[in-house]
Amino acid sequence: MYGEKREKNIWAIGGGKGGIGKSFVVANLGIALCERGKEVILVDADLGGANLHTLLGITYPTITLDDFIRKEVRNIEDVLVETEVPHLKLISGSLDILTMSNPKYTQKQRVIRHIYSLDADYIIIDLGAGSSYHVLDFFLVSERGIFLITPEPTSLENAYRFLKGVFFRKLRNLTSQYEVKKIIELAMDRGNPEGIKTPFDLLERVEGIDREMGALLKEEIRRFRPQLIVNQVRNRAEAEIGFFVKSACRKYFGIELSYLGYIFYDHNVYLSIQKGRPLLLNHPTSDAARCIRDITSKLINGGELSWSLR
Amino acid sequence: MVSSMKTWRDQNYYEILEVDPQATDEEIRIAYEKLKTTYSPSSPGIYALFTPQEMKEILAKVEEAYRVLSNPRNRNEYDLMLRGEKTEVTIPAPAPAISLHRHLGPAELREALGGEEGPFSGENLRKIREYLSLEADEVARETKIGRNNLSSIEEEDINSLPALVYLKGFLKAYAKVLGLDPYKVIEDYLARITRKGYQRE
Repeated sequence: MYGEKREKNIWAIGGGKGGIGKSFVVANLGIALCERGKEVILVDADLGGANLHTLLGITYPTITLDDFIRKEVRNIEDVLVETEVPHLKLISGSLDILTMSNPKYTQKQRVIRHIYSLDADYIIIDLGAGSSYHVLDFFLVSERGIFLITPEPTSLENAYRFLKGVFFRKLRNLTSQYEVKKIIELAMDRGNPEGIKTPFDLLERVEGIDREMGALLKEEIRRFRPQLIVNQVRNRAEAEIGFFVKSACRKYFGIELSYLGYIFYDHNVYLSIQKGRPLLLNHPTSDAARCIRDITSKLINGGELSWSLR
Repeated sequence: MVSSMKTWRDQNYYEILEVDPQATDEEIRIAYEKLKTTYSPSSPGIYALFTPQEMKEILAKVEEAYRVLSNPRNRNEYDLMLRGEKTEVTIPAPAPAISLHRHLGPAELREALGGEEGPFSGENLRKIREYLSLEADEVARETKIGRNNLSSIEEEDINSLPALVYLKGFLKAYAKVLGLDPYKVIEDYLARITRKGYQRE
């Protein structure tokens, strides 16, 4: 379908709040993709709080992103490590909290550039908590980043703020025009003196300054189609929260979110993390593992859940 | 559905309800129920995006859209207008809520059921409805349960009752209108019809 050249998919997984299972989802999505014969690279970009390696049963990674950031190795491929799953490779996150939780802009750009150059069918990036610029910029490496939420109000609140951060950061990165940049920054604060209340107000204002730029931003928003997973779902009502978020994104930002699916709350997840072995290997037939495989097939085929859950 | 980069203030009724213009009545009803929950004041975290005033306005639009699209005649008229074949549409007035926060106490229940407090059989639900002087049509309109389904429920006609997932929803809505505990009603009712041989998944 895409000719000879290998179609490469890059997704970052973020969600604003910590402890909602981002690394767990990244590790197991990676394994589920390998089960389907894909080559996968996982990148731990949780700068300052990396533990993707632990979830994959690697206690002491011999080489990490640190070595690349410090330029001790030249290419990012040199910090790839094998995992116990064939065709699943890992770039371990930085363990050096002091220097690496706050990388310089150029360092971050170099990491992102090298991630694009990696050779695999799928590259999944695990992000840290929060909505700092580093997190937002890593999330924006693709049009189809994955939001992870849990059904708790605290998670949803953070997720909406994270989405807002991502959205405005994306627009801001698209323009080099000082006046437009300024107005986007202003718009992030709802109480701004310009009276820009919503992303729609903002677009109108940008169009007023520069018609072409307005059209470009609109087109970029149309192409931006992040995906959503709800983790730790205990019942159907909680699974439906995904549709609420989808609607809120349509009505607030004008963006189409794909709701990929939900993962049941499952004690086996706890057991597998305690044991230091990924769920898909330790409890391959558990409810949560089944959910992850469903999501994986939606990811591969570009599908999503339909409005009514039956 | 394709996002049209229009603010919800400018969206048409289909866009407001986030359904396809060819959506079935059932799809429209499901979308309406979901959106009502999404933009209710208790919807978790949504205040990070919308002000209380905006949520109120969205809800009002959702209600208006549903009133038009759930009525075949109004919907037809509206479709004609969207195609530019008509210039005006009737928006039905909101139906008066027939039961706001009614709660039926044990004494009233006994009175309605001739001395008993249950069980919530189809016949007893009908008795309670009549005790509250509610017409079946009124209840159907308020609960969005079809008139036929309502009769089937009251008659415990296991052959014409809907599938379990819908039946539960209907019983819940019906119980609410009557001021009864929905869970008690569902429990009693399902126990009865299961004994009668109802088994529609």
